[in-house]
Amino acid sequence: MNKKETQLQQQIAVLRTRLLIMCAAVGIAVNEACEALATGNMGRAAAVVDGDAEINGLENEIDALALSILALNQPVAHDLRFVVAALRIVIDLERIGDEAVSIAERALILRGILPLPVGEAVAPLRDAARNLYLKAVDAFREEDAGIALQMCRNDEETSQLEVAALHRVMDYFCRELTDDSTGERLYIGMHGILICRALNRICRRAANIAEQTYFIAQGLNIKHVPTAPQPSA
Amino acid sequence: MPEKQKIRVAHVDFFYGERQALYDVSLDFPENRVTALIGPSGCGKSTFLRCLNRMNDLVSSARVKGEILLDGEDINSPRTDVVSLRRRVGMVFQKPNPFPKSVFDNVAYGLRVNGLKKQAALEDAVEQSLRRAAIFEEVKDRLHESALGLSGGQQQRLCIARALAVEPDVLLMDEPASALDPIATQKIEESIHDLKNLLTIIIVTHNMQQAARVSDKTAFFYMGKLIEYDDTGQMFTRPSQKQTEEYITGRFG
Repeated sequence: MNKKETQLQQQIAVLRTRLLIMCAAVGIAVNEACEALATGNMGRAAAVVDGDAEINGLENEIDALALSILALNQPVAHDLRFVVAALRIVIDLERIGDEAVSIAERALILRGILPLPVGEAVAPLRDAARNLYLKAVDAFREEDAGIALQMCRNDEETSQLEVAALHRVMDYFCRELTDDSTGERLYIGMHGILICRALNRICRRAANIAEQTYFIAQGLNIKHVPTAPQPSA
Repeated sequence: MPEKQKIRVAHVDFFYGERQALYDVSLDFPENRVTALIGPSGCGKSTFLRCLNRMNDLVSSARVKGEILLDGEDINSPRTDVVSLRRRVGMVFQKPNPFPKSVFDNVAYGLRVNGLKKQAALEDAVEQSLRRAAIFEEVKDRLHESALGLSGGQQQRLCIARALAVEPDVLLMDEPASALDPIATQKIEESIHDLKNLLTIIIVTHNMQQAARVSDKTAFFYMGKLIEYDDTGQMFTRPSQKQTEEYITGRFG
């Protein structure tokens, strides 16, 4: 059979490119928000907040493009799976962008206190969030069902990291509640908890992207499936 | 409970003279289901469809090997009465082909040939067939006018009614909506959906969306071979064969 690139293929290539651009923009936002928190660089934090509008714009653009492909081309098989997954992934990406903004806003609120006294406590969760996100994007870009499936199986690991980080933050602000710095420590601790929550959500959303990558590649839905299948060749 | 298979096809080869058009095709058609046959032009899907009621007998050089069982009986057996077979396995063609007679006489034609003479019984049967083909309301006031005065879509549904009048078990449809506008196409598709409660339908179509909309099972043919046969939902979301994926996504041609 002679293969040819159809108009649909071209549109899907555009959709894929726009998604990867959004992946990159969101990845930068996550990275910059974490760096702002770690270093106290307010310029980086402000850039993340300002850059959210661009991410939101990409979400709308990708949404419209996917809808138009569905309406005008009625894709099937892999093409259909890709467009449906794009509509789901774009939501996760936008929410990850929002979590990056949330972290950046904490950095701006806590200016003068940074680097955070609880910074070390959240560091493992922060690193996990960045790594999982990058891994999810890599798996999506390469359409690698194996990596995607492996990520989905690491859900418990993420939960444990969040619980450990929360424990350390709680330890920090519960320590010697009677001393003079109690108020400040409660304030920092509260933001620490919100940061942990945002990082945990980034991990979860990254796992969602991995689930969609698996769906694109294998045509199987592994959401809410306790024992996911082995990817076929 | 396992589905009853209305037609079982095993290892069918088909030849036009020296040229082989079908290679070792085996598949079963479940009862009261719609099966779509898809594939590029010249892939053998229409030839295969015509094997199912021996329409290919009309081609002098045609030769078929293998087994086609209708309710367990070999349709190619010398004992098979071809007229009776074609009554049980009706056919609707790409172009509407009403007889140059009235709407009523078109539908009553097969019934009269089969010996039904009573006017009241004929009227009942004609009305029922027209209703099943979802055209009765449109033609009830012009039953005795020429069928050639109907629109293309109406003519095609009249042909479906004509095929239904003799109460076939199976209806073969060879691109029945390819010459129709979207509204007429939708009416034909709705008729197909309603009719599957009564009979088994096998439809050849070049329209992928139509195959996806109307059928329960889909068979993909390529160069005379059956490449893939599966539930339609599976075929259009997760085909197992690369050739199927390439065809239904329009990647080859």
